[in-house]
Amino acid sequence: MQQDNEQTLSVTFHLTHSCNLRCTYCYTGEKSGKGMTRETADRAVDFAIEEARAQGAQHLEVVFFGGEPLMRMELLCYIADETTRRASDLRVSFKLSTNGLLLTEDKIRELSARQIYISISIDGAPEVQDAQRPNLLGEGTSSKLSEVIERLLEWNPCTNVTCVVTPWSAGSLDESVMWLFEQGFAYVSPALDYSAPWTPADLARLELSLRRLADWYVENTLDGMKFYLSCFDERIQTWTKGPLQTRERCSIGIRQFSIAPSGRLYPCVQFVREDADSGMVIGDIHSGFDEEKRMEVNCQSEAEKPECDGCTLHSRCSSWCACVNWQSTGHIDRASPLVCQYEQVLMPIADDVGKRLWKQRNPNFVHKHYNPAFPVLSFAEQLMIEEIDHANQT
Amino acid sequence: MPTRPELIVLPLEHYPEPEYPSWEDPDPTVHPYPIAYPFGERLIKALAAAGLAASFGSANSEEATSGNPLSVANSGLPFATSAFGTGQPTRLEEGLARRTIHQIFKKEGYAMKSPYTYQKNGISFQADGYDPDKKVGFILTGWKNLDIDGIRRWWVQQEKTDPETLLGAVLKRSREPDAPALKKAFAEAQKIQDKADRAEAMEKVLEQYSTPRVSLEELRKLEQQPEVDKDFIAVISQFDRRFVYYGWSKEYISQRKKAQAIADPAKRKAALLSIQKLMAKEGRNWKEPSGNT
Repeated sequence: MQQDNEQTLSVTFHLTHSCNLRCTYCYTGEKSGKGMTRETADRAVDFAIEEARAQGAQHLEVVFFGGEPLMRMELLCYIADETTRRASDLRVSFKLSTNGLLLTEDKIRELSARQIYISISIDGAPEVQDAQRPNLLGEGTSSKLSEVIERLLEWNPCTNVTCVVTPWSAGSLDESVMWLFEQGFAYVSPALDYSAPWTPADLARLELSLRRLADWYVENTLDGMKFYLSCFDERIQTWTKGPLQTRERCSIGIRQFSIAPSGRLYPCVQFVREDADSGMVIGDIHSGFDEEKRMEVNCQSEAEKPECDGCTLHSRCSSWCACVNWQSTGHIDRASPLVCQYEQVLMPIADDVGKRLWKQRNPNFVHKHYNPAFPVLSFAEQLMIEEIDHANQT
Repeated sequence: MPTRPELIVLPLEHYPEPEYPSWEDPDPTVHPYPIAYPFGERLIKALAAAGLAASFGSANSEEATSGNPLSVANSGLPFATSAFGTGQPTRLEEGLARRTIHQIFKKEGYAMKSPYTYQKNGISFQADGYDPDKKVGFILTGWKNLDIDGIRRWWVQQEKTDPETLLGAVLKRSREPDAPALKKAFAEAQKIQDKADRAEAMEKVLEQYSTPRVSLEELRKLEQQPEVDKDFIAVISQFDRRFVYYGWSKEYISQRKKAQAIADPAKRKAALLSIQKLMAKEGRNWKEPSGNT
């Protein structure tokens, strides 16, 4: 939740276009092997800090992205260390988005020492992971991940996992999510592949899967399990916390932007395409922002969408997300038909989950959605359990 | 290969209102009766396995509450809910809240250094204020500024010397039964027709039944304790009801809406702050400190 009193600038460093996976739905373009140089990184760190100061931000969030950013571990650590050193007047935090395959014990230790929060991408049960996220040789990668998951959760039981849902895997979303929870994850964020050609039939299979997942959600919440499942929890929050205000949205190109390996600036991670012109370059770190283009992109992203006029779900819907609209329609100012239909499928299911749990005055549900201190409390509780478990073992 | 049918944007004309409280309804964590924070079975089992079962038992007695009242458990975090509205009530701007806390400590003779990096016994975290001579400090917790890891280490360290009042108190509070008297008082307040009067009455009920606050007198007693090597850090939640200010009068809502409509972010922030100051000056839901931190 963005507080009025702390402005955040989020800058994503794309360390490389290389990747050790060949995901079927990858949107980041050709795996060209081009990486960010030390010189570019040096300038990029200064650029990010200067921009944060110019905006009057108190918090600078640095996100490491790729390709696979762990293929440039040394550079990643360098950027983290230099940002911390040079931005002593700002609160600095770090996030890493990784496929996890290169996460050794040593790397986790180094990331942890720098307080870099790891978000891992796993698409679910082995058969889905292997089909959607093969390696360069087309081989499955699930077998290598089991050890990584255990290691990662030992270090941070609150690790977030993102699983991408394609038309192919739509019918088994419930199985994938349940599998991830069974592995020990407590924060799961399913995300649709918005660039895929979804059909009404695909969505119908997704709906059935979401209904099964809703039953699981209710049963396990009643059983006292604490977890976060973005597809339902985010929709419930649009009702319990109210619609997102314009200033709370990501504000692409302004309060968040991406730095490509070449040093070019893009409004959001989804637009970074150096092998093909996405038409979304908003400057580079040497000459600065192209302010005209930057404002054009930002204004387009925040413009009202006439095609949504009269929709009763408008204030709760995520049709404001520019990058999803762009992926889906090729335009950032046009509402995505997939988002529209997905929200209409998902919202009643999420609201039914809310209704069933509220009817029982379930404490987990009530505190999760109405106690603003809940995320801090549940996080602290989770860490305390680990601490005490660890003390018992030793 | 058949052509795939295309999806289209289709505005939904009717959608039923969800059947659970919205952000505009009374806070479900306290209304119509309080629902305790659900500390998990795993935590309780883990504590029991750590040999703290005894402290858990003693925490159910009255004696357990007489110890260090400036513990994390007593910060009110599990019950730090807003009086009304859900999730995002209006709170004092963080800077103003922080300055007020400082003023209160200063008035009582504490020389708070701010910010202060607390470092002791291998524990390090950023306190928002700390008097090294008197070993008293505070942390104002929120979403962004909470050094959860540092506080956790401090918590665990304190737990080694003072488990009854720290973890024990957390457990005790987590198992507090619903108070019938509170329910009854709430029901009475609910009968009041006028919205503002009803809100005020409910606020009074909450105040009457709220968890104990730490007084400065207690703080002084703690200073004089022979265990001079112990530090006292007040963990004050930004979501504490004491920082929720007048948010339900029509007059205020109207002023706030006007301020929120200001396009310029700096001017908007200044306008909102000036409303807060005005409310604080008028003393609406802003009580002069009377011994409580």
